[in-house]
Amino acid sequence: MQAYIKNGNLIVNDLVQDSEKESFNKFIYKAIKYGINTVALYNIEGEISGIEFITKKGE
Amino acid sequence: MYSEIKSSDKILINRLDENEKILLKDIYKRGNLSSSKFEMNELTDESGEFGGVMLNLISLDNKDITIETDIPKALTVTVGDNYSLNIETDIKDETPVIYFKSSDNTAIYENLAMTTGISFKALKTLEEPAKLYYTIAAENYNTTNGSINLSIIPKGTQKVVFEVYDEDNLPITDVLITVTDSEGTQYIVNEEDNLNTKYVELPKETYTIKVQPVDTERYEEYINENYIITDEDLASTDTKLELITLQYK
Repeated sequence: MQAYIKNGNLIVNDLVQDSEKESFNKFIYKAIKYGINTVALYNIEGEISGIEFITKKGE
Repeated sequence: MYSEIKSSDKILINRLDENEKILLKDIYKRGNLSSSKFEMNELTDESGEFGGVMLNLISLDNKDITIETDIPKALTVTVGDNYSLNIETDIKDETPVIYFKSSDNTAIYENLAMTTGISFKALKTLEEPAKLYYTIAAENYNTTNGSINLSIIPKGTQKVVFEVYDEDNLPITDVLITVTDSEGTQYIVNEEDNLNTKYVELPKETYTIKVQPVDTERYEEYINENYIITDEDLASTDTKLELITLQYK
């Protein structure tokens, strides 16, 4: 799993293992439920593949 | 930059190159995601410099309760006596409520909804052990349950209260009461608050009860040589009341 910063936002993406997917999906579900300023990212199959933390200035 | 999901609450981000270190440190310092539900914790690398962050969701899920007191698995109690069990937990941020109930509702007087433990009174003896179930609840915690095997045994003695009257049903206070068992052991009879009332604690046995009036010219002496304290008496929580009437001469 890799992370990068794009346009000031922190992105965690490119999941590899199924075991990571389960925990990661739970993390995203909780982050949205808790109201953390995030966006779920999807791959071309429509599965959640990552999360973007809206961390850029002014957000 | 490397990332790893550590749990459903934590994501590790480290192995930064110099450019990523500057950008991520800037995000970390900005802290615009920080809230009571999310925090970004700084990690340091081998040289002690900024080396990454741990993204940490602060779980709103209920926490488990840890009981810090050794609660017995089994308990033997005497009928009629009050018992208290202190139960301490790791809950420090709120006040827990501790409920309990007995599998035999007729055997236990329950004092529900305490905060520091359970307190009860055994009402009658049981041939088979009962279960005493307890539940510890607090708002932001998972409820925890347990049980204690409870044996209720007879008490060792029965309290007998004597009240002495004349044939007109007026109380007589000036009497000497003696209680003697089959081996000649005499039991001390104590004064109760009421002037014509005296009591004694007796184990299971057959006794001789003698009531001697001070006014021997007016009243006959009373003797009962077959006064029995039974198993049923010992299993009861009630005081045994004996009304004695002295005959006129």
